[in-house]
Amino acid sequence: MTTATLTILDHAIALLSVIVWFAAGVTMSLRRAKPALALLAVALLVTLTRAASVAVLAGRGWWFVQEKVLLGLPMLALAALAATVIAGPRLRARTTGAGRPEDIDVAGVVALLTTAYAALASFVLTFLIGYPLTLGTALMTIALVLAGALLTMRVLVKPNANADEEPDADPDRPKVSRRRFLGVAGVVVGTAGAGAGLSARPVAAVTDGGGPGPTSRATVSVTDLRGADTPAPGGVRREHVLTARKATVRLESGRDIDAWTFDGTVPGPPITATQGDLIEVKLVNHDIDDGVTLHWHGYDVPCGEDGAAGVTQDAVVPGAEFVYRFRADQVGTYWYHTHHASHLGVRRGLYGALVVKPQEEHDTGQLDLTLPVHTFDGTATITGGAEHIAPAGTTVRLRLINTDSDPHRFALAGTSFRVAAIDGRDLEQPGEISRNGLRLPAAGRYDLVFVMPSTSVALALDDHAATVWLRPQAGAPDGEPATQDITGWPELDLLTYGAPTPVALRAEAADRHFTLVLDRGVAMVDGSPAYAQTVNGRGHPSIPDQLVAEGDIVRFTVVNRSLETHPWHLHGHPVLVLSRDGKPSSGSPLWVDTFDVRPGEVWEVAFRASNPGIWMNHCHNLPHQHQGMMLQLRYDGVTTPFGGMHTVGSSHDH
Amino acid sequence: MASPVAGSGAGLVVATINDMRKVFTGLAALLLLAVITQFYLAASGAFDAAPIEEAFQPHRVLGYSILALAVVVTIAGAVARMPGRLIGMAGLVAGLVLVQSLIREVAKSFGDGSTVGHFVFGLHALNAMLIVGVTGTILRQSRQISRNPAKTDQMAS
Repeated sequence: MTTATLTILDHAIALLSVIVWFAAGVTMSLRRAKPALALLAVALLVTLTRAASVAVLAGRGWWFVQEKVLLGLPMLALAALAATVIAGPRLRARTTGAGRPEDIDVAGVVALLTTAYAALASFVLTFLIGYPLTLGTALMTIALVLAGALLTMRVLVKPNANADEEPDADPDRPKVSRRRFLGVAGVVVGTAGAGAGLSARPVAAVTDGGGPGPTSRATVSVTDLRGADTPAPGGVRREHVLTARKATVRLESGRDIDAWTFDGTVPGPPITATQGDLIEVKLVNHDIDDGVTLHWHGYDVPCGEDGAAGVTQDAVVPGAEFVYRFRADQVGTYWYHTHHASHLGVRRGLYGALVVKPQEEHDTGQLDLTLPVHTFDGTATITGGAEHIAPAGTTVRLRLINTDSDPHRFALAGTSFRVAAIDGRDLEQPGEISRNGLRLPAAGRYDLVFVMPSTSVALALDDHAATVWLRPQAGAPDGEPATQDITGWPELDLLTYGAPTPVALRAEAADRHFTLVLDRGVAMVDGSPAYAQTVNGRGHPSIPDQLVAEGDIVRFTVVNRSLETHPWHLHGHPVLVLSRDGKPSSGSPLWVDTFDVRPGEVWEVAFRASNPGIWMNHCHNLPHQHQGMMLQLRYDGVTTPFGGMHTVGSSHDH
Repeated sequence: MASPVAGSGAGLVVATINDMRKVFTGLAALLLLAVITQFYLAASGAFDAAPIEEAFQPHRVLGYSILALAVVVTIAGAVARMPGRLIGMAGLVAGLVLVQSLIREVAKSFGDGSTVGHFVFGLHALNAMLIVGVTGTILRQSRQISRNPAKTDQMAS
C-alpha cells in the first residue's frame, strides 16, 4: 500500500472515530443505554484500529505521524480509557434496568463527548497544523478539548429551559460546581495562554542544516554576481529584445484569449544558441502592470541573472528594462518565464523555450522540434504540434516542455524511442522503449529521440487523441498509432532507466542536510493567516533560509505529507536524485532541476553548492508557491539589496 | 472565556442567557446567509473563465469562514445553554462543512479528470444541501426559543 493510500485510510479511520465517539455520547444523552453501550464498544474498536493505522504509517517515516504519536493518539487513548471506565459501568447498569431512565447521566455523557472532542482535535490537528507539532500547539489543543468538556458539563449539569426540572433545586450544589468549574476553566485558560505564548516566540531566520553557522567575513551582493560579457572562443553573441505586453492571441483551437506575452506571441520567441555563445536578452516591460522578470529555468546562470524578483533584482515595471547576459555553457532543453507573480504571469503566457545545442552537431538531416505544453482555458495544448514530415530514417528529437503547474502524461505511439535527456541533461545509455507513458513534472523537460520509421508516429497528451503527427511523407495514413490503446501503457520509472555510472557526489558525505516536509496547514503567508501550502509547518516568507557555504555538499530530504503533488525546484543548481521512498536510484544518474514529489513520497537529492548566490527553492506548482511553499537557499556571505519576494497579483486581493 | 455564571445573581444570569440566545439566533441567521452566499459563489466560480484555483478563491475563503462561524455558533449555543439538540446540530453543521473540504481533497486525490473523482465531488453539492437544511432548522428552532423566553423569566422572578 502506498503511503498516500495509508494516509487517506488513516484520515478515514480518524474521521470514523470522531463520528462513533460523538454518536456514543449523543446516544447516551438521549438515554438509550443499549445502543450507547454498543457504540462505545465500536468506538473502542475504531480507536484501536486507529492506533494500528498510525503504527503502520509510522513505518513510512516519523514525519507522517509525529503529531499523531505525540499528541493525537495519547490524548484520544487517555480520554477513551476514562470514558470506558466512567460511562461503561453506568451504561451496563442502565441496560439491565427497564425502560428509559428519567435523567441524563452527566458524567458518562461528558466523558464520551470529551473523547469525541479529543478524536476531533486529533483529526483536525493533522489537517490544520501537521508537521511539526510544537509544544505550544499541543498545549492549545489540550486546552480546547478541556474547554469543550467544560462547556458540555455546563450545558448538561444545569437543565435547560426546555427541561421540566427546576434549576437550582439544591442551592449548594451549583456553588460548589461553579467554584470547581472556575478552577478548571482557569487551568484551561492558563494552558491555552502558555501554548499561545510558546507559539508566539520568534523562530530562527536561518537553518544551517548541521553545517557551520554564518561567518562575518566580507560579503558580496547578488548584484555583483553577474554573467560573462563575452562569448567563449568560437561562440557568437545572441542578442534579443523581449517586450512583455498584453496581447490577444489566437490559440491553435481557434479561440482568442487575452494573454500576457513576450513580443505578442505565446510562447514567447524561442531563444536558441550553440554552446559557448553569449546570450544577451534585453527585457522591456510595455504594459504588464504587476511587473515582470526573466528566470532561466534549469539554466545555472550566475545569481544576478536569475530573475527572481525581490531577491536578485526588482521586478521590471512598465516602461523599465533589464538586460540579462550569460554564457550558454549548458547544452539542452530549458525554458524561460517570469518570476514575479508567476502564478498569474506564466499561466497567462509569459514564457518561452530556451534551447542550447552542442557545437559539434552538424546533422542537418535531423528533425528537431521544441514542443512546449501549456493550458489555456482548461485545455492543455502542445504548441508547435500539428503535422510534420520526416522521411523514414530521419533522426527526430522531440523536446517536451511542461510549462504548466501540474504534471502531464505523454505517449509516443508508432515507434520505439529513447528518453535522451531529462531537464536538459543527457542520460547514460538510455534504452529503447515503447508502449510506455511518460509523466512530465511541472516545469520539467524530456528530450525524446528516435529514428523515423516508414509509418506515422503520433504524440498524445494526457491520454487524449494525438495532436502531434510525424509522417514519413505527406498523406501517409495514421496507421498503428490511431488504433493503440495508450491509456493502459505503464509509466516509465526514470529511477530505473538507463545505465548507472559512478558519481562522486552520491558517495560523498553531506556537509549539510535539510529536511523539507511539505504539507498544508494554517500559517502566515506574506503577513496574513492562510490555509497555506507549507514547508515544515511554515509559509513564505517565514520559512527559515537554508544556509550553505560554497563547496558544501548539500542533501535535501523532501517529504510530501499532503495529498497533492509538489514539483520541487531549486534555482541555480541541478540536483542528483539519490533515492525515492528509501529505494536508491538504480538507473542513469538523474540530474534534474524539478522533481515531482507525489503524495506520501520521500525523495533524497544532493547537490554541490558551486554557484554562490541567494536562490529561490520552491514548489513549481505556481499556485502552491503563491500559497506559501517557497523559501531561499542562501550562500554564506551573499547579500541582496532587494526587499524580498512578495506575492502580488490580482488574485491576492482577498 | 466570558462566563455568565461568574459572580452574578440568578436574575442577571437568566437575563444574560436570554440575550445570549438572541445572539445565538443572530449568529445562526448569519450562518444561513453565509451558506446561501456560498451557493452563489460556487455557481459564479463554475462559470468563471479563470482557472479553478483562482475562480473558486472566494468560495474557498467563505467556506473556511463558514466552518469558523459554525464552531462559533456551537460554542455560543453551549454558552447560552440552548437545548442540547440545537448545540448538537450546530456542531453537526461544523462537521458537515469540514466534510465539504474532505470531499474536495478526496476527489482531488483521485487525480484531475478521473471519473471516480467527479462522482465523489458530486457529494459536495448533496452535502451542501444538507448543510442548508440543518442550518435552517437551527435558525427556526432557535427563533422559537428566543421568542418564548417567558418560562425562563418566570423562573427568575
